[in-house]
Parts: sequence; structure tokens; C-alpha cells
Amino acid sequence: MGILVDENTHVVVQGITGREGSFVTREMLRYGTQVLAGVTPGKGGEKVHGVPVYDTLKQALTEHPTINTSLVYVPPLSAKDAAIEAISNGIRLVNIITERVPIHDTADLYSYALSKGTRVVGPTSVGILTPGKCKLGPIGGTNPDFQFKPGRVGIVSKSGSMTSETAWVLCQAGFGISTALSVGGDVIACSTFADILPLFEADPETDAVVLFGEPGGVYEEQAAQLVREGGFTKPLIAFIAGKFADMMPSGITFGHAGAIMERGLGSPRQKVEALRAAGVLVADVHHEIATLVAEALGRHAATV
Amino acid sequence: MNLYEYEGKSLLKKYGIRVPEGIFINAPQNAGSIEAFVEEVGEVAVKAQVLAGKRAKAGGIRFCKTAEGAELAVELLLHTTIHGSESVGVLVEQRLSIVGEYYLALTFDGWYRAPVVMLSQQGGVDIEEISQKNPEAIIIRPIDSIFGLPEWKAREIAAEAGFREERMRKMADLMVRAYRCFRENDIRLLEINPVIETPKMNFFAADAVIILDDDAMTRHRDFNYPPRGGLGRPLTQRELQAKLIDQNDYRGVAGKYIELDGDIAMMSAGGGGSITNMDALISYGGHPANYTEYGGNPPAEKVEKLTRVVLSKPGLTACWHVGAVANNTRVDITMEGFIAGLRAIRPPFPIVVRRGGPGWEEARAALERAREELHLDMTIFGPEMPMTESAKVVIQKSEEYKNKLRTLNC
Repeated sequence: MGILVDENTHVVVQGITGREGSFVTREMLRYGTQVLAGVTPGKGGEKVHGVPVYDTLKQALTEHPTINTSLVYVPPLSAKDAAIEAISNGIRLVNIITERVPIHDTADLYSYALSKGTRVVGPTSVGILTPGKCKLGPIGGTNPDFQFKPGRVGIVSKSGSMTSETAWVLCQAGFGISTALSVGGDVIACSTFADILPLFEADPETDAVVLFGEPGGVYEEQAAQLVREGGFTKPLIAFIAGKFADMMPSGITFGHAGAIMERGLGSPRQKVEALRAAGVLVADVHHEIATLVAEALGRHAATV
Repeated sequence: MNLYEYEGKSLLKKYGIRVPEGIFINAPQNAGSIEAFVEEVGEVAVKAQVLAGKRAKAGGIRFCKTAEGAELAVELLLHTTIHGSESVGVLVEQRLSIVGEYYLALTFDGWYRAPVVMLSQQGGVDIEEISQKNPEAIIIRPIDSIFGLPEWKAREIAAEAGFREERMRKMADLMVRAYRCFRENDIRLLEINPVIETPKMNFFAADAVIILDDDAMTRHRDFNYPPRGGLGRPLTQRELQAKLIDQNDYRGVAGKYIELDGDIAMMSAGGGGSITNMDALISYGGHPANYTEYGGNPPAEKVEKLTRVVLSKPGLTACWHVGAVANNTRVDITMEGFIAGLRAIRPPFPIVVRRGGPGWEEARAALERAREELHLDMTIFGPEMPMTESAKVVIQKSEEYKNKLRTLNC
């Protein structure tokens, strides 16, 4: 099982002919992910590692009607157009890897995805991986088996690099992964912790989830609220990075709107407090998450 | 990028939003026009142009009735520093009669995952306190990003905030114009505090706080704002050098560098990894000399440049080159850049490396060769060492080095 991606995930890569898009296509194919088509406007008819390229997503869908997932790997200013193209064509899962998407564009595409009921993960996601079944995006790099062993712990992270590092820490302690994904750390994340946790709750093959949070926004606080309200009942282990941020030179905040909107939330300390108050186990230092997972699952890592 | 008040106001003006008449002065020799201006408009406000809030309370705004007074205030505020932000000039503005002060802001919010408009009849310097004591005094409404802010919606919001009749109509009009400015210029925050109402019931933007979206700059090639730091202090020499690394080269990122007070040089990879490792170092009692994060598969020469910047800070006692098991960044290539930097600097202090990912075995071998060739005190860890655990090693190494210096009396 796992969530979002599995052996039935049929992928189209938007931006497949780019340097990164073509590299990640090769790695996905090596993993066994079913990449059926790619789209790059103007490059229809080409092939990338044997995958046919089309000018439009519509053409790709006509030739490969089982495609259900899009990986968006286009430049930042084209991400909104590509994502809306995918949503308009009825793709059910859109994963945006592109970083530095302008926030007005993200707001537009999120609003549109919401109206169509499409699941969008990203922008600034590193992808989604269900071990042994599907690797969507650059997650895990060229050797995902190294740290993503099949197992029963889910990972949801704002940070891409820390998705893999978290899997590695768990792997060393003897735990495998049900599904790992990064949702990105942008102000507007099209999928938040509180959107993803219910999917793990419903997944019979996930026993516990590790959450990796970062400063800013309220997505960690919303996760805490979800747990408090009973929307997520499995063990949740969290690490919140960025507690050092207090010592950075930041000057006096520019404008008042940020302070008014955050309503006293948003700092790592407040996130940790909110999560602990909801009963979430929060690690002080990152590698301690393995111990907390073991504790939560009521067994010692060494005996697994 | 944060805009100075005078830049923000000229942007608002383009959208038909009234701003007080004013002149911008950025050098004493340009101050000659003050006398004529004061004669024309009467009482003026002289405002230091800094990128910091709470300016009025810090003495950055002076009101003057005479040209002599205004000239003196200009002299005073031309090169002042407020909350660490150096003034780039002064804005001399007509002081208007005020019958009302309101608050208007447009920004993005994670609760709604949408743009929001914030509107209050109680604008002015105490808006944050008002938001705590009397949150209902500030109306906050999400805006459908695709639909925008139509006039009827703006009227509804103004009415909910307590504006009536002609006042309501005028506030709605101001909001619609402000939203167009917000949208068309890829603004992340547009705040007018206060919006002032004059006796003739005209609304003016008495201040302007605007933050542009750096991620959208490439579609605004007409913007012509000089570069500026956002730290509340001027950039240091090394921070300026680091900024040049990514200029005109979009392959990966290696130019984020913030100088701090500590003695352990940080060469850290990945955004999330870098802040996680900073936390670990500090929680074990270490003092970072800087913050940095490189990533997105940068070429070797970028990492070499960053290494030179990071290791050139005086007073270092150790260097921690640390990163997660990389997804996509080729660590053999980035370590090649690091080694080139080591070759140039030849640091006498200890180095601790912890990394993994594509090309790690080649990288490890190259680091071992460099250690021998350059006679470095370098400890090399791969993924077998938990990332944050290696913080303890670098702190211990740094202590040993400090002790050695002490016994050598240097």
C-alpha cells in the first residue's frame, strides 16, 4: 500500500527534455517506475531514455490513457501553466519539483486544484517514494535502495534533503519506509502536513509517521491541531529545524502584517510546544528520531 | 526585495493611489530644493529612508514648519542608521491634515493558502497591539487568487470593517487599486499604514511597505532597484563576495552566506540539512562562524568560491563540512570544489566532513588524497555517522585546537 504512489502509478514528466528532467526520468525508469510519456512543447516526437515526448499533455494522454500522475519539472515561471495543464486534463496527482515558483502563481494553481479536487504536492517537493513500488521525482537520488527499505514508517517533510536523511536515520535503526515525501517549505504548500497525515492514517501498512518541520507558517501547528482533534491517531514523531534562527541578524521586521497574521505562532519553539501539547514525540536533535520511533512502537530498534 | 518608502510610493502612484507630495533627497548637494518646496506646501514631514519598521518611534521622522528646520532635519536623517538599517536618503513630504487613520495590507497567508486583505479603521503605529488586544478591529479576508479582488468584494470588505457610504466607496476603490498593484508587480507584502483621510475625505498612502517576490524578478525586467541587504545591517565584505557566486549562473546555489560571531566555519549543504546542523552544533555548545547552504547540484567552481569565502574569516578553530545523504547533488563534484578551496587556503585548523549521496565513494577517496597531500587535520565520515552526531566531533576537534593554540601561546 503506502500512500499516493504505488505500482499503479503511471507517470508523465512535464519538462522531460531538460537537464534535470531527463536525468530524473532515467533514475525513475531504473527504479521501475512506469514513466509512460514526457511533455515538452516544441519537442514532440523526440525520445528521452526511450520515453516518447509529446508537445501537449493532451496528446500524451490520447496515446497513453492510463497516465494518472504528472511530475512537473519545468522552469519556475512555467510551473503554473504546466500544473494547470495537468489539472485541466484530469490528472489526479500532480507533483511539482520546481523550486522558486512565484507565490502569486502558486496561489493561482492551488486555487484551481482545489476547485477541481486534484491532489498537488509541492512546489519545491523532492518527490514521493513508496519503496519497491514507485519513485516519483529525484527523491533518493541515484541509489534510493540505500536508505529507502520497505517498511511501516511514513515520512512527510518540508525539506527535500532531510526526507532522505530521515529515511537513512530510520534505516540504520532497522526501520523501513511505507511512503516518504516532501511537501516543500513554501508559504503556500499545495499539500500540507494536515493534508497528508489523514492518508497515512488510512494506510494499513503505515504504523507511525515522522514529520520534519521548518520555521515559518502554521502547517506544523495545524498538524498538532489535527492530532489533538483525533484526525491522526497513529504515533507521530517530529523534528523541527531552525531553533538557531533566533540568533540570526534579522533586523526589525518590515511591516506589521506578518506579526498580525501569524497570531503569535510560526517560530520553531512554538511549533515544538504545540506538537508536544498534542502528544507528539519531538526530537531535540535530528538523529534522536530513531529512538523516539522505537519508543513509540514499543520495541527497541536493535531487536527489529 | 524590500522597497524603500519612496520607491513603494512611486509604485502606488502608478495605480492612481494618492500619496503626499514630496521630494526625495539622497545627497546634501541635492538639498537646495527644500526651501522652495516648504514655501509651496507649508509644514513638512522629513522621513529617513530605511528598511526597518518602527521608524517613527526610533526618531526617523521629523515634522518641520520652516525651511531651516527642514534643512536641519534632512542633514540629521540623511546618514542615520535605524535598527541597523542605513538611511539611503530622506523623503520630504507635505504634512496633511488628518481626520482618520486606517490600516490596509495585502499579503499571503498559510491558513487560507491564498492572498489576504487586512483592513482596519484603527491604523497607525499601534496596529500590532490592537491586533492582540482587539483582534476584531482588523478584518482579514482571503481573496481567490484567480478571481482577483472585484469592486463588489472590496465594497463588502470595507463595509465589514465599518466604513460607510462615501467613505466605504473610496476605501473599496483604494483596495482594488492596491490589489492590482500587488498582483501586477508580484508583491508579497503591500502595507499602507496609515492610510490617512483628509478633511476633504481624500485617502492618501502616508507610508508604503512593499516586499517584492524575488522569485518573480525575471518577469519584471523593467524594475530598476539597486541591490540591498535584508539583514538589518550592511553586508560584510565576505557576504558581498558570496553574493557574486550565483550572479548570472543558475546552476545550483552556493551564494548564501551570513556571517555570525562564532569560530566554527560551516560548509553546509541543503536548506533543511543546514538549519538542522546549525541547531545540532549550537545545542552541543558549538559556536558557528557563519550560516551557509549550498545545493541544487552546483558546479565545482561555485563550491570552491564558497569554500574560500567561508574559510577566510579570521579566528576560525574548525570547519564542519556537513550535509545529508544527497538526492541529486553530485557529491564527488562538490567535494572537488571544496578540495580546490582547501588547496588555496590550507587551513591549519581541523576539518570534519560528513556527507553521502551520488559519487560519495569517489569523493571520499579524493578527500583522503587531499588530506595527505596538504597535511590537513581532516576527519572524514560517510553516511555511517549520523549527520547531527558529527557535530560533537567537530566541537571536540575545535576545543583541542584551541588548547593547542593556548599552549603555544598564540
